[in-house]
Amino acid sequence: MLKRFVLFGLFTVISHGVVAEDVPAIVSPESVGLSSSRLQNLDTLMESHIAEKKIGGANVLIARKGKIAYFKSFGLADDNKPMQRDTMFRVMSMTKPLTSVAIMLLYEQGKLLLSDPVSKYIPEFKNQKVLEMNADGKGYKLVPVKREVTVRDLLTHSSGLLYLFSNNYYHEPERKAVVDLYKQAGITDGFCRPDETIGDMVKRLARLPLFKQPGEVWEYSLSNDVLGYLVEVVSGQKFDDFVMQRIFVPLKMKDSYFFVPPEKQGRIAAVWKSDWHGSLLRVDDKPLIDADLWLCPQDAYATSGKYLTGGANVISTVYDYYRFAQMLLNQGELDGTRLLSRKTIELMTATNHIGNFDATFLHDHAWKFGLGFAIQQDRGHDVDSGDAGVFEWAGIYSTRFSIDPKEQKITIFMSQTTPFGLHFGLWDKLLVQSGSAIND
Amino acid sequence: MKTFFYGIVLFCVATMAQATGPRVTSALLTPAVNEIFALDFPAVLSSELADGGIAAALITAAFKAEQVESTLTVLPLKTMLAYYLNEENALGIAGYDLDLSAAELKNLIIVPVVSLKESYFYYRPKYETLTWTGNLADFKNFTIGVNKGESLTAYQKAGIKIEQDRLDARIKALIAGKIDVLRESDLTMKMALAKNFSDQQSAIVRLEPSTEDAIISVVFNKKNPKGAALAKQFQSGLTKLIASGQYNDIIKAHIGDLAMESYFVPVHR
Repeated sequence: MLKRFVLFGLFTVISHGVVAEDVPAIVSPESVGLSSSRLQNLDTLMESHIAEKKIGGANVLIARKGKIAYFKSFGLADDNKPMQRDTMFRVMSMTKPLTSVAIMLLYEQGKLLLSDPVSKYIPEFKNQKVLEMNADGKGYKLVPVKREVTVRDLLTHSSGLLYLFSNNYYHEPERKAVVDLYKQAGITDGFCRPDETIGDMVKRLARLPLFKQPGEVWEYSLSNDVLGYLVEVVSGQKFDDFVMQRIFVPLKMKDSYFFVPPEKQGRIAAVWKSDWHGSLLRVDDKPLIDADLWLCPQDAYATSGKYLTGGANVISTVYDYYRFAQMLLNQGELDGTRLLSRKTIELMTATNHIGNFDATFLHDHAWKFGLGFAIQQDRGHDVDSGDAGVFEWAGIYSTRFSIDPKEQKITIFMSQTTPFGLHFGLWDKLLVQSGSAIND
Repeated sequence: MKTFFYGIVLFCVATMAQATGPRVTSALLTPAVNEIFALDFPAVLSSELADGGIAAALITAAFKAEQVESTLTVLPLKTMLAYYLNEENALGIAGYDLDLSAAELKNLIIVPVVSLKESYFYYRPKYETLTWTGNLADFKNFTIGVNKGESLTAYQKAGIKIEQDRLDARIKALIAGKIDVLRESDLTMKMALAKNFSDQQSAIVRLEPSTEDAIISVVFNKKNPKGAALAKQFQSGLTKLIASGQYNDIIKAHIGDLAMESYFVPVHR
């Protein structure tokens, strides 16, 4: 009887395609030129971080040559709840590459050009001003932009916009003055979902002074939030609908959302606060506030809302994000579905978009920025991800992905731990282990 | 023949030179003509509205009536208006409750454009009935929600606690019981409730009598070389608008079926 019940259950599962589609196939590391024994170093690395209570838990995935060779869960997703492969994570700034792809889909359709001034679509960007401190350090003046912000400036974080939380790390009077104006105008970083539409925020933001002249800075910023609204203006669709229809569905990213449906919310990982010295606390429902950095982990449980940010809103799984990353590595195609052309991916991952500026926010000098990712220019700097041409980005609750085109390798790490500044070492070591496992 | 050939080459080179160059340069920026910096006032003067709202339409039309080209730039912050007025000698600013000092007023010409009825609102589930006589003392120990940047002195004198926020946030606070009453123009409130809180429209009650009117004005700067002359032209244009009936037509076009007299007060000039 029991045997028949199990067989019936199995039939039901297979007939709904759950087994076939939801459990990713994992191949032997050796079959894709990776060493199983060397990958065990990764187990040790992760387990030690959990034993030392530096992080609560994490999922790690390594794929090579289009196949997943390593996909393991470590530690806890929540109190008394082990991490699972299908645990969902607030990927935060790993939303940004999705937004870039959304823009490039419109670009390929001929709906916009990278050289277009943003004001062509959002008129509030016309005649912007840049804040410059007076020579005596007292007060400021607003000078006209030398040229308008373009779509490409937004994609490369060269727009002159900034993030409020940057004020925690970089102490410059003009930065503080702009951040103060942002605050007075009710502009936020969008990490706590404001009660307004993204369009209303962007129009207000556009009327505030820029931090630097467009094209004369690399400054990690609210540019992707503007891009999300630009997608709405150009496509005529809500940003979340566009991403769902044009990216999540074609790539079969079935666990990726702007608003997670109630039946899946039990899979969302808790956020942990770590001092990296053994104090690890599961955070409660209150916002996490550190001066100008505001985080609201609880927002992941919202089932609807008006604010759709292209900079931080998406909740996803490691496997789903792998599918997105594999599409990028495959130069725009996955499982027979082509999202973007090879030429567009080549453009997005070119290293000369920001000229002599460096994308230092997550990395180091000589890391460059393409149209949505940081790109390793060469091997001559302290933070090394294994190859020139590697492109990657991360999220503020400690998530990171890295794509190595030369080695056909993808590495994805997802945790939910704050503050993110303590995680650079772990991320970098993880990439060293991932690279060191190459054995062909 | 040779001369003709060189002529053709020269022509082509010259044409090419004209056709190339940076796509987005300062040369392509359109200079703002007769720029007035306006403070965002939801529902009637706002970048969130397709044409900037009623006040924006009236200001533009008044200038147009005098064949004066103008640019209205809506800004979210009073501090930015003050900057343009005081640091850059802007032609003018526009808005409501602009906090102008006595010293500033000496150099300004104020032209009222439109006057809106403004009231206090409460949430009926919290208070079955609430009355006020028109005196702020009635709200002693209450928490009132007002717009960001609004002058607070009168409230503080009356012993009232203040929460300043954007309108949607204040309406949510009212419903959540975090504030007791909120102050807003009747029209702005009507539009905000219809747009985002349609299920709560009947529960949010307007208090009689109305409070002071919200007068949106254009304030011309006499220190700007064109300020005084344009103030005169603007006033003349506005008079023409009113006389021709275009003034009322613009308002009616924006408010649809709503009764104009319920939301607007005639502007005294």
